[in-house]
Amino acid sequence: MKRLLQAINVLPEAFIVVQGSGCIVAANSAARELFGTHLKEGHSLAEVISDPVKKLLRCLQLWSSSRQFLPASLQIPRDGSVSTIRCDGAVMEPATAGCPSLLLLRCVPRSESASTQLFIQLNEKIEHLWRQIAEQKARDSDRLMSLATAAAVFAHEVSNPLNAIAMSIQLLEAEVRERNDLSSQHVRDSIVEANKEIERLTSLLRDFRSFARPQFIEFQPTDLAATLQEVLTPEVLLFRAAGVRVEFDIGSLPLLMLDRDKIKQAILNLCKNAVEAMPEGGCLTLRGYLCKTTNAVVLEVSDTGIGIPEGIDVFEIFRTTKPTGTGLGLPLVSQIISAHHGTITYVTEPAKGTTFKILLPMRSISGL
Amino acid sequence: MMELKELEIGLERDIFLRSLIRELSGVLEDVVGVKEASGFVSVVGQSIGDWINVEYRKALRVSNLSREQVAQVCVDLKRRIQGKFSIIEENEDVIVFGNTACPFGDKVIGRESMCMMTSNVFGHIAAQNLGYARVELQETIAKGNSGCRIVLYLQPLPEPSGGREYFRADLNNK
Repeated sequence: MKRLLQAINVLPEAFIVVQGSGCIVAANSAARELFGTHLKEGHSLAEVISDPVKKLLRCLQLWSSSRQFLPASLQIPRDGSVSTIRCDGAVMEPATAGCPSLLLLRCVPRSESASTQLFIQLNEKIEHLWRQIAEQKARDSDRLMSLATAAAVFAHEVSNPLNAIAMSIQLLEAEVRERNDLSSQHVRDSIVEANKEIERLTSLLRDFRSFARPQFIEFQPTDLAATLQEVLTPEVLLFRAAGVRVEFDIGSLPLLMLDRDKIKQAILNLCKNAVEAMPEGGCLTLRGYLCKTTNAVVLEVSDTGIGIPEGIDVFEIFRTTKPTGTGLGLPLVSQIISAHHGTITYVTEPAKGTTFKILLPMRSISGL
Repeated sequence: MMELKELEIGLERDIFLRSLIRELSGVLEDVVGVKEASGFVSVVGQSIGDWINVEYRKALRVSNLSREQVAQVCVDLKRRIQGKFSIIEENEDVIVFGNTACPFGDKVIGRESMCMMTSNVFGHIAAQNLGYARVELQETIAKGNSGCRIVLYLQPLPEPSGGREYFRADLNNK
């Protein structure tokens, strides 16, 4: 007992030793500081608190019944008002014949209790994270805006000369065709190559324009399953030729308010990406279902391809893993889905494949 | 559209309350840790134990429960709240209980702090009537065991190892 009293005296936390009746046996300096000078040995704890005696007795009874520290709260008068302190108490020595029990109380002001501190820290962390997310979103938005403006200017400046080049090549092609001699074969080959490059540049410009243009969405009731079929039917033969099997698993879905053309564009982009990710062939799966937990329609586009390398954000503009990619396809998909108030995420595993998951919330449907 | 009241949703008062307790202890365990959460659940357990003790004493018209009555009360109170407790062993030193169904059902799995209800209710009732109890939760469904094995020691040891000790509070308050 003596050793315990010596030990609690050097502790920074407030400790009081009381009898089961509430009579104060000892208190360390932290406790005296917390409770004030009225905390005196031989006096009752009831003298230093503002709670009714009945409540103190209930607390003493609680603390007297177990060796584990049990939490309770007491109120103490301080500077004309009342402060709440948390008191955890436990039996130190049970009562024996003729000897009352001894209880050890550990007291902390409630506002500084560990749990409150944890809550405060937790809230601060959550707020900090929200701030970070909001700042990141604002930065992304500014960056996208500048990129979109640059893309629009670039597309405009390039498209006119490109048209002129295309027309010149067409004229050249017609002239060569008229001549029709063997010596012009290498010129014809060059024209074919030039046309391919023009096509590639035109496609790149189209992506640029789509990306640069604000997404004006025209919502209309849409059967997602039928839309998916429309996207896939013209492509299935091409996909098969690339050794890709297509599996279609769409459950019963309600009509959704979507911009059909934009959604078709997004899905086609995802499907083409998936097929390109399977150079050795594989399986492209489209799965759609209603998720009651999130109240959203989920569409998954999966491939069994090479996967996306770690550390690459495919939704970042101009980020591409393909040698001929523009890095605009998936940012455009993300833009379209965002315009539908949806989200798109993906999971990927090297050599196993990638699954893109689109969530189209039902609330955006009813709210439109 | 189906009537809301016809929907098959697993929500009725009992499940709701069990889920509520599970979530409350979950939040406590997450925020303040299992040890601290157990302290809070213990306070509730003490009050519940106190109330149950008074109720059984009144119903049995006794001022104090005997050891046999304490054992039977523990089994009976658990039976009333859909637990399946039984007495495995009982003598003057110890009462050993077994259990195959928790009153909290599957809501207890992974929530060890909820076992403090049993520890405190049993410990409190035993200590209030017999003067002393030490409760050891040797196996619990919450921890993933197929059943619970709860040992109630009735004699204090000079240096008890493990479990939680309970004392007759009115004796200590003198």
